Amino acid sequence: MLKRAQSTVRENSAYKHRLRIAGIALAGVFGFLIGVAILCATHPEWGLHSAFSSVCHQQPHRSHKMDGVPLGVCIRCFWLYVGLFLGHGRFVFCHTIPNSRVLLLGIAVTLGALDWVSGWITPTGNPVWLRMTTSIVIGISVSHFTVSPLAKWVYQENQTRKNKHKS
Amino acid sequence: MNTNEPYQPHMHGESEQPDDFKAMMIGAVFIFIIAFIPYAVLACCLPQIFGALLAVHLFTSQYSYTLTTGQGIKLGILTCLLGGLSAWVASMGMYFLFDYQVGAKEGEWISLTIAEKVGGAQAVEQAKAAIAEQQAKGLGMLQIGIGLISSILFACISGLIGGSIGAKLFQRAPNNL
Repeated sequence: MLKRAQSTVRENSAYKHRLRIAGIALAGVFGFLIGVAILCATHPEWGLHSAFSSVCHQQPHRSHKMDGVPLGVCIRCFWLYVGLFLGHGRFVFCHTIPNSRVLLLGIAVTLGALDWVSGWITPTGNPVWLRMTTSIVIGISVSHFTVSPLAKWVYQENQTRKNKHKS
Repeated sequence: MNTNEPYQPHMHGESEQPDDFKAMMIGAVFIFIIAFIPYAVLACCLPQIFGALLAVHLFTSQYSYTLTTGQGIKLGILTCLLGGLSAWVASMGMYFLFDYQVGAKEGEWISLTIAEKVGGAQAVEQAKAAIAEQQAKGLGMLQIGIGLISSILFACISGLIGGSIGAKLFQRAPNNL
């Protein structure tokens, strides 16, 4: 009984450790993207703008600017990356994943879609703060789906490898 | 065969995993086609995420099979890589063979429209100058290399997101194989 309890505690702690590692890895990826997007503005001569051309419209008037040079991605994409960075980075400290994550994602995406539509139908376009907020919320909602599977996947692969090795 | 029954390997005469190639190809074709639709660039990375979701949906509904999230991620990433990279290769081919850049004219139109809406005549002039500067530069080897690496990176990210969400959304049977 005690051995089983000890084993469960060990597994839980190992799972949290994997969540932390997966969170750091994915936060690192999105931190890297944020860094590259900023580098596009600080060092335009490096030609990094083309890195984002396939995934963002890169309209200068829909992007943040540094010294008059637009970042590599539009405001919505930039804050989406920030949301994904924060959402994944929080797994370093907090490991809980909400049960209603599908509902949360649905609400976040609906708000984002409404914001996107409002940008086209209103005469002056949607405000920057609204684009920033909805994007961060979507980014954080998406992160609930990616870290845990990645941690589980690594765990399953390790278990399969161990079982094969034993047999 | 009753398609609502959970997947059983013997039903398909297979020994292990069901074949996900068809679902992957359809998802990839979806991504490929969207990449050449004018103004689709406004959707940013959504087509790739939807392509991955489509592949997971088709695969799970065909076999009444619940994917583990890891399998969903794998299927999503492979779909996005196949679709994204083939679209990138085709667009590069069109650029070098016919000097035609996919979505360039539509991009100009979007840029000028938004500039006019947000900043007026002065902003339109700035946007025109930026477009002319970009056209004068053209595509160098560095840009092509960066484009290839970023296509791979973004395909992996979109596949990860689409695959993991798809595996959670499209659960067909209580247990995995």
